[in-house]
Amino acid sequence: MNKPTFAPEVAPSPNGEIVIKADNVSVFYGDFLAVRDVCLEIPKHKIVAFIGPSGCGKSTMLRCFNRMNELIPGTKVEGKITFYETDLYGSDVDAISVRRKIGMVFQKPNPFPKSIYNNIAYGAWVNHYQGDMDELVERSLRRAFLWDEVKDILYQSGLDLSGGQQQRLCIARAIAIEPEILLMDEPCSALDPISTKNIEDLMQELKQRYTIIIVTHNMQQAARISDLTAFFNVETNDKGDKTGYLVEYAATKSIFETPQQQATLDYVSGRFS
Amino acid sequence: MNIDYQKKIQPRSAKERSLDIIFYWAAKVFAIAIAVVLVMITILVALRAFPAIREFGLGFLTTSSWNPVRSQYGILPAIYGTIASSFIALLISVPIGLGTAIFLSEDYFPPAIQRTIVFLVELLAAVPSVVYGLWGIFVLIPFLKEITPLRGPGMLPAALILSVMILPTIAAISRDAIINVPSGLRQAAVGLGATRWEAILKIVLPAASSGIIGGIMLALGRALGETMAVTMLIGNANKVDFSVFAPSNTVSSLLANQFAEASGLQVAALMYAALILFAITLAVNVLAQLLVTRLQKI
Ligand SMILES: Nc1ncnc2c1ncn2[C@@H]1O[C@H](COP(=O)(O)OP(=O)(O)OP(=O)(O)O)[C@@H](O)[C@H]1O
Ligand SMILES: [Mg+2]
Repeated sequence: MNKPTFAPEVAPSPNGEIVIKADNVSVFYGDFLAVRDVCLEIPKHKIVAFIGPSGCGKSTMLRCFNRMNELIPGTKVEGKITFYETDLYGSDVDAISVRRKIGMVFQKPNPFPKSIYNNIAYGAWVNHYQGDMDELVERSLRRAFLWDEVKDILYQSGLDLSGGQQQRLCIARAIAIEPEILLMDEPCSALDPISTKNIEDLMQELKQRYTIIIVTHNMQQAARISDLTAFFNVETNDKGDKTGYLVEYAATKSIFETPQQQATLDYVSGRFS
Repeated sequence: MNIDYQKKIQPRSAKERSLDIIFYWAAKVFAIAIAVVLVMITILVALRAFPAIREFGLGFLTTSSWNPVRSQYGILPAIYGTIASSFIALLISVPIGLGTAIFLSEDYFPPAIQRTIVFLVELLAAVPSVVYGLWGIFVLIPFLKEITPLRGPGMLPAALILSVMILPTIAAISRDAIINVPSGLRQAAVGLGATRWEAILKIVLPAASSGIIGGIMLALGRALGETMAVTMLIGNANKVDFSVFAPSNTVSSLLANQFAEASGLQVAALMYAALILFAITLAVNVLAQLLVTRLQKI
């Protein structure tokens, strides 16, 4: 097996701090090896984009970072993922407290069938938030650039909003619990260009406070918004199983302009093998 | 020729269209027929009840004597018994049924064991009610006599048996409702750091609430109308007694006990009682509908 090697020519973050480190991570669904040998480091307060063909394990990797994969029976993670110094899969760490630090925004907007206010209050409730709820709701909605649109309809159902507004509500809900990291799995794929633009602008703002990992199929989007890009690819073994692996991980500019691997060049320039 | 063909929108064949029309009318007739049958039954029962309605008016609902010799009829005890037995049954089976539904919709068991338990729960609904009645008489009542002040048939054994009978309805329908909650909602809750129970109680159950309430109301409808097992167990005593150990009566067991030897005004009184039972179940269903639509808006 030829392990992809790469010099992590990561543009160092201001204080050089690494938030998440994946060390030789492989993920199995039952016996099926979905992704293998991923090594990467996510620097603080950056936007990292995961790109690659369908089925290469981008979502799978993302879910490992907040242990959402444990909802799927039979998943197994090998290797080591650390959050600052903590081993995310250490025996003394439980998944629920991991998810309170590492929030997630899903591909399909999934607000709770509750009022806008309660959509945000729920996360606070499960986190035993003691402060002023009204203030938290307003602050989260403002950070998600949704406040002006919904301040008069806080008690209407979150499902009455447009798709783009729903997705921003989901982002507001995720940041209300003050996570350290936001995982976003194709957050714009169900949205129109204007809503997409809104969310992209929002991410640039959020990056001041949070570290963001985003999976996207939209090459321009990755190029526009991310600081670093990880390109994953799939290979088929003799049994016909498809396994994803990390091909190249570097500053976004160099991935798109001077990729070191042929596969990366082919993918970002739209030539697929 | 060929080009002409491309440009024209072909009319559908006569056969296809007449099939459409046949299906349309068949469906329409069946739908209307159901409504007609329901209305006809109501009207006929009301007509037959008319002499009693004229004779007793609303006093029928508030008096307690059932005396064919003196032609005095009132169904207050039966109305009380109907509502009380159903209410007690719900009180027992809603928590148990809902608990069962939650448990069987989670992945606590391997799928094979899970399916078996689900099947067994649903099998409870397949036991004929006369079997429940027999079991109540020969097992439950003797047992209750040992451990409670119960002296024979009464409200408690009837309500207990009712609760077992409606349990599968509540469990099965609630489970379906819970399973059908979009998985994205649960993932969202878990992604925010909710525990399994925080996700179930605050997100999954509320999202499934309209289905769950539908199931509870269906169960209540069954409890209100259940006749055989209740008649065997409740004691058929025509007086209002708030003790659960005392014998009582329900509208449906009153009807079942009396229709054979009834004649004249008594038949009208029974018809009147049937009408009242019908009105109660109708009210329950309308209430359920309102509740469900209200809940869906929150
Ligand atoms: N719940 C699951 N159970 C079993 N196998 C799964 C499951 N989810 C994903 N896989 C498999 O793991 C591999 C990686 O899937 P994953 O969803 O991570 O890909 P992806 O890169 O996110 O693709 P896409 O771009 O289409 O979203 C695929 O081969 C997929 O079939
Ligand atoms: Mg995916």
